[in-house]
Amino acid sequence: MLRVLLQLRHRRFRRDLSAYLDGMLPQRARRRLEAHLDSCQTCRQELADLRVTVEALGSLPMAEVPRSFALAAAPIAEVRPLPTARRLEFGLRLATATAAFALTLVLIGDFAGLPGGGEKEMPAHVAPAAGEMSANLQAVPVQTPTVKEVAPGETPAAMEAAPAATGITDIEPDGSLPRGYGLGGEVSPTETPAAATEAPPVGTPAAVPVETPAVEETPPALVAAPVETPGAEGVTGADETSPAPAAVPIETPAVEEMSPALVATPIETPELEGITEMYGEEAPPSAGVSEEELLDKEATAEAGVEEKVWAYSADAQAAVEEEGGGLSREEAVRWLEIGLGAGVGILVLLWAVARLRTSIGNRP
Amino acid sequence: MVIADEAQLVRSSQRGDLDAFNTLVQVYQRQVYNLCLRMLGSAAAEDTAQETFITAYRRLSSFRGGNFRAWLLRIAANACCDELRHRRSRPAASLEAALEAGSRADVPSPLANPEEEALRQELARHLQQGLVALPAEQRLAIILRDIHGLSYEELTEALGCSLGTVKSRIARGRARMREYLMARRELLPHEFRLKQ
Repeated sequence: MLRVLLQLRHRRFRRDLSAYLDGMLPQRARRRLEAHLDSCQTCRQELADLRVTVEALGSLPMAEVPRSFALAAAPIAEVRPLPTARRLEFGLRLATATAAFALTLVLIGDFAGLPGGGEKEMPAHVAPAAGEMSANLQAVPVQTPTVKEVAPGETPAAMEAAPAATGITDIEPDGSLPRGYGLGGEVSPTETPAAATEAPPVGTPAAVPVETPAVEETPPALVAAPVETPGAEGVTGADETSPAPAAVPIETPAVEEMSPALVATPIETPELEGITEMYGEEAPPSAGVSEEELLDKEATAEAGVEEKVWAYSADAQAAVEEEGGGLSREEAVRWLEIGLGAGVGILVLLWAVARLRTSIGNRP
Repeated sequence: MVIADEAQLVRSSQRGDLDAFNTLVQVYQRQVYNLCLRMLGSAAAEDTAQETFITAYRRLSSFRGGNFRAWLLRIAANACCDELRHRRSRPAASLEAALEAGSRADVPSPLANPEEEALRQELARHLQQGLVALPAEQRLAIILRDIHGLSYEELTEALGCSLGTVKSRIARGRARMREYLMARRELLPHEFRLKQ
């Protein structure tokens, strides 16, 4: 028993030897250790060994520096490459924000009692356009301005349609059928909403090919005849649907976009938004802070005045070019990818909403 | 370097004076480099030392007075630990690198005769091997205390732990170094030969 206690005590003293060597032991502990050292040969030896060890370590030379470590220039603040996660997060946020915006528009349209038929074409319009854009842009990011053209290109065309639609309320039942091709079927008052739902796919392909050349066309061509281009015609045809609901109250929910209350025609807004996103630019939904969006709104408001629209397109082109200069090619592609992802997500959402709306509308 | 001067230099550096900071670099680069050398070996020591000063410059605003050397050595110690952690994925390289650290550090002293010099280098090699065998935290404590001569108070700052922890790390590290040298006593110079 006594031996065990002594052993424990001895162990504690051994632990204190290092601090004792450095003079770091409190006075009382030091006195006790010194008393123990007088009587314990093992501890004395160990203390001596420790001292030699410390001396040996202290004898190690300090090497000379191989070079000066002085800083040639003040290090800049840490520039970490944007991690994929953060980029993804941003893309998702953008998608969510835009989706929320689009949803808000749809809801507003819904509450305003606006028709929603025209909306179904919209994804079809944009989808090929988006594909075209991605192809163009990934190959040649500098070509970004070309894509830009789509926005203004469509704006006047669609706008043209809007006034026409509101103005010629009486003519549309007749006029829409010959002009609108596949879309005409959708317009006809006799058809049930269910038929209308199925009509868009038919109308869509008709609109798509017409739209595509517009995308590929160079700005000058568009500038020359914005309304007369096949693309514009196609859009006009598509928008012809709007008058129909105006005339036939039952169909009213079909074309949601043509509300006069919403000066910025919703049809264009989501489209343009999609395009905006292709540029990977932030487009805060509520405020519409994004330069492009603001311009879009303006353009939409002044759609009647073609010159202004084209001036805008030139501006936008310049802006995009500027932006293209600032971004590296790789960056641009990366942003495009994010934008495309977000855009597709939104289109899917819009499509889902459109489907939902139609199914709700089908109920008596 | 007078303490008052150092405080002044630190303040100037914090205001963005690169020359003032470089003066501090000149004062402490040898200690920082040697700590890295003992911890990592010569291959990584240079880069890690440079990284330490870059990090230190960037973090100057976080220095709130106190012991600048301890603050700087803490950054160096962290950089060394990061490097060691990074190396764990390729252990073969790390041991070799650490072992050859001693060779670079051993500058021949012109006064010693060749025989003594050879013995001294032998001792340094063994000590370095012993240090490498220690856990990193004990090795840091031993290097900073017994080679760099930091006080216990400075050590609490440089290691970022309590006085009790510092004492215990040093005690355990020294005990292990003693055992290591004891096992090789016949290889050591006379004055460092530990008795049985």
